[in-house]
Amino acid sequence: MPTSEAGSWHMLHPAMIVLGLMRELGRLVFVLILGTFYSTNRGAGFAQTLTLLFFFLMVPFTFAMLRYLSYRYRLIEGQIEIKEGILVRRSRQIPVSKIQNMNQSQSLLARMMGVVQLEVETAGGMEAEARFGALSRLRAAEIRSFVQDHKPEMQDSSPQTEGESLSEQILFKMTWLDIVLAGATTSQMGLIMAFLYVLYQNFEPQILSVLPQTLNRIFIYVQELDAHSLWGALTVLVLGFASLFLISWLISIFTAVLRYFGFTLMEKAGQLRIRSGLFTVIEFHVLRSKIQALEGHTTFFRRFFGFYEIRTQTAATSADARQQTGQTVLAPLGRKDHIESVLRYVWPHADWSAVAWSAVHPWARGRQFRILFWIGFSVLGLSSFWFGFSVGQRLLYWALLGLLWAGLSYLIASLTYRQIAYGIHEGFVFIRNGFLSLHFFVIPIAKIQTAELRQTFFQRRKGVASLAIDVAGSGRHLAEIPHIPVAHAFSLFNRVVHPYRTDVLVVNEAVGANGLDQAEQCTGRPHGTTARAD
Amino acid sequence: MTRETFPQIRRLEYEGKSLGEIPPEPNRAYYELDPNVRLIWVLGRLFSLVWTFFGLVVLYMVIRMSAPDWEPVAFYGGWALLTPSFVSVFWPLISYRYWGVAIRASDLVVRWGVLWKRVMCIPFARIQHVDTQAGPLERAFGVANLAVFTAGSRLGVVSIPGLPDDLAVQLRDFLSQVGQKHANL
Repeated sequence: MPTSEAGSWHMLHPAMIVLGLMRELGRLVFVLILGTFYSTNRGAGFAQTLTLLFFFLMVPFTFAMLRYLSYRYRLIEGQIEIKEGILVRRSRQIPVSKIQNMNQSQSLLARMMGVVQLEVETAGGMEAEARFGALSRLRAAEIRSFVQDHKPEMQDSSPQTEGESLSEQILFKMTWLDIVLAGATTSQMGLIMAFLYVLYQNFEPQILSVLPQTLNRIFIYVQELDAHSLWGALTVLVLGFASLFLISWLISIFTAVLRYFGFTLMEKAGQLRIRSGLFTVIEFHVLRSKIQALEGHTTFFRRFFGFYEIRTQTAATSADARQQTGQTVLAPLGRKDHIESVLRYVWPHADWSAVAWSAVHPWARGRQFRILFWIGFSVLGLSSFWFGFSVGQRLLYWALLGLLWAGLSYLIASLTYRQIAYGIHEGFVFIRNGFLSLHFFVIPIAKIQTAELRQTFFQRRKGVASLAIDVAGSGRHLAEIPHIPVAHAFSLFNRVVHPYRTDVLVVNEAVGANGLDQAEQCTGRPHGTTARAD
Repeated sequence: MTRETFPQIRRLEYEGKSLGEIPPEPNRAYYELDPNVRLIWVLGRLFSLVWTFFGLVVLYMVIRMSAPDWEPVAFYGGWALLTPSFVSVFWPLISYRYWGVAIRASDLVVRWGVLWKRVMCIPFARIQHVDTQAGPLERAFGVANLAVFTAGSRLGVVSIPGLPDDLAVQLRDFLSQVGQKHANL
C-alpha cells in the first residue's frame, strides 16, 4: 500500500491546471463565441480578435493556476483536512466517520494525463464536501486506503482500478441495444426548443445571412399554402414537429451513449457498484444499508416496450455526480424481471409479486374522469367555432363529441384508477401511481422520516384523504397514496411513522382490516434495514 | 408471532369526513395557538396590503399619464387585484382556528388548513434540530414560531407559528431532548 509521511500537506497533481482551465473554458464558451462575433461584426481585424482571445484566456488560466497553488490537503487523525481559496481562505475538516460516498471518475483528458478525480461526500449538503480535481493514482489510492482504515464498513469498497479482475456478481448490464433504446425513448425536446430559442435570440442576423435561401424557400412554401387550408397548416405543423422530434431523438440517443456506455451494476459485500460512461468513466458505490427508497418509473412511451427505470434514494446527495436530484440510477432501462432482480438484491424480503394490493377509493376514478372530460370537452368544443357551423350543426357536433370524449375519458380514467394501488408487506410500503406513465415506490417503513395527511376541499366532501410519506435525501417525487378513506388514512399514518411501537392508534378499524395486519409485521425491525436515517 | 402477543392497539371512534376533526388521541384535543397571533397576522397582512396599495396607486398614476386610453382598465384591474387582498387580510381570523399542535407519546402532530387540510407527524426519533424565531411584532405580543427539522426530503421541515414564547422555548428544549433520547431507537 502506498504511504507517505503521515500528516504532511500535499498539493494536487499539476494536471489540475489544465483540467481546471478546460472546466472554466467550458463555462465561458458561450461568452467567448459572443465576444468573437461581436468583435468581427465591429470590423475588428484578426490580430485584434486574437489579442482579445488571449486576454480572455488569461483570466481562467490565472484562476486555474491560483486554485492549484492554493489547494492543500492532508490526512491526519481520522480526518481529511483541506485548505483552499484565493481571496477567501477556507479550511475544512471532514471526519472520515461521516463519509458516505467516495466517487472516482476520469474524464477523457484526465485519462490521457493519467490522473483521476476523486469526490468525497458526507450526508447533507447539495454537493460533494471535497473534490480533488486531479490526483495521481498513487495519491488517490492513499486517500482511499486512509478512509478504509478509519471506516471499516467501507473496507474493500474502493472502485476497482483498471486491470483488476471483477469478482463481483453482475446484477445488471446494459447492452448496446438497451442504451440506444434508453436514448430513443427519452425525449430531449424541451432542451432542443430552448437551445433553438437561445440560438435565434443571439444570432438572428447571422442566421438570416447564412441561411437566406433555405429560409426563403420555407417562407415561400408557407406563403403559398392557402391561408384557410386546414390540411396545409396541419402538414406544416406536423412536419415541423417531426423534424424537431427527430433532432431531439438523435441527441437523446447520443447523450444516452455518452452517459450509459458500458453501464454495469455489480454487487459485492453489501455494496452496489455502478460503472458507466463513454468518455468520462464514472465508478461509484452505494451501501445497501444506506438505501432509503427505491423509485421506479416508466413513461407512457416506454410502457409499450415494457421498460422501466429504477433509482435509489440515499441520505447523501447522489453517488453519481451527474445527477442533480440526490437519486442514483440503478438501472436506466430494464425489463420487469431485471428490475425485480435488482429489488430482490437490495431488499430480499421486499417481494413485489407477493404484495396484496389495495385499491384506492373509487372516487379517484370519477375525479380523473371529470377532469379529463371537462378539459377535453371545452377545448374540443371551442374548436367548433373555427369550422363555422350553424347552430344546429354545432349542437350535433357537441353531442357527438361529448359522447365520444366521455367514453374515451372514462376508459382512460378506469385504466388510471386500476394502476393506482398500495400495499404493505414485510415492513415495506409499496405504492403504484401515475396517469399515463407509471411510478412505483418501495419504501422500508423503518426509513420513513415524516408523514403528512392531505385533504382538499373536494376530498373532504367524499371523506377521503391522501397520505404522503417522506424519507431522507432529496427525491424527485414524493411518495403519495392518494384518495383513501379518511379514517383508514389516519390509521395508516400512525402505523407507518411508528414501526417499533405496538400500541398504535387506529380509527374505526378492527386490526387486520385493509392491510393493517400486514403492517403488523413491521413492529419487528425489518430485515436488512436500520432505524437510523443514515 | 401471533396476533395475541401484540399489546393492545388503541382505537378511536370517528365517523366524520374531515381530516382536521380527527382528534390526535382518544379523549384529547389539539392544543391551539396563542389568540394574539390573529392580530399579528392581520396586522402583517394589512402592512403588506398598504405597500401593495401604494404600488398600485403609483402604477395607476403612471398609466393615467402615459396611456390615458388604458385608464379605466387600470382602474378596474387595480380594484380587482385589491379586493381579494382586502378579504385575505381577515383570513387569519378563520385559519387560526384550524391550527393545532399535539404532543403524543413518541411524536409531534401538527394540523392546519381551512380548505386544504394537512396533518403532519414528526416522530421524535427523526428530529434533527429545532428552532424558535420571533419577529419584532411577534416579540411585542409575546409569541414565537417553532420550526422542527428532519432529514426528510420534501416534508423535511414543519413550522408552527404563534405559540406563546415561553411555551415555544419549552417545546423547543423538550423536542431537542426527546430527539436526542429517541435518536437511535
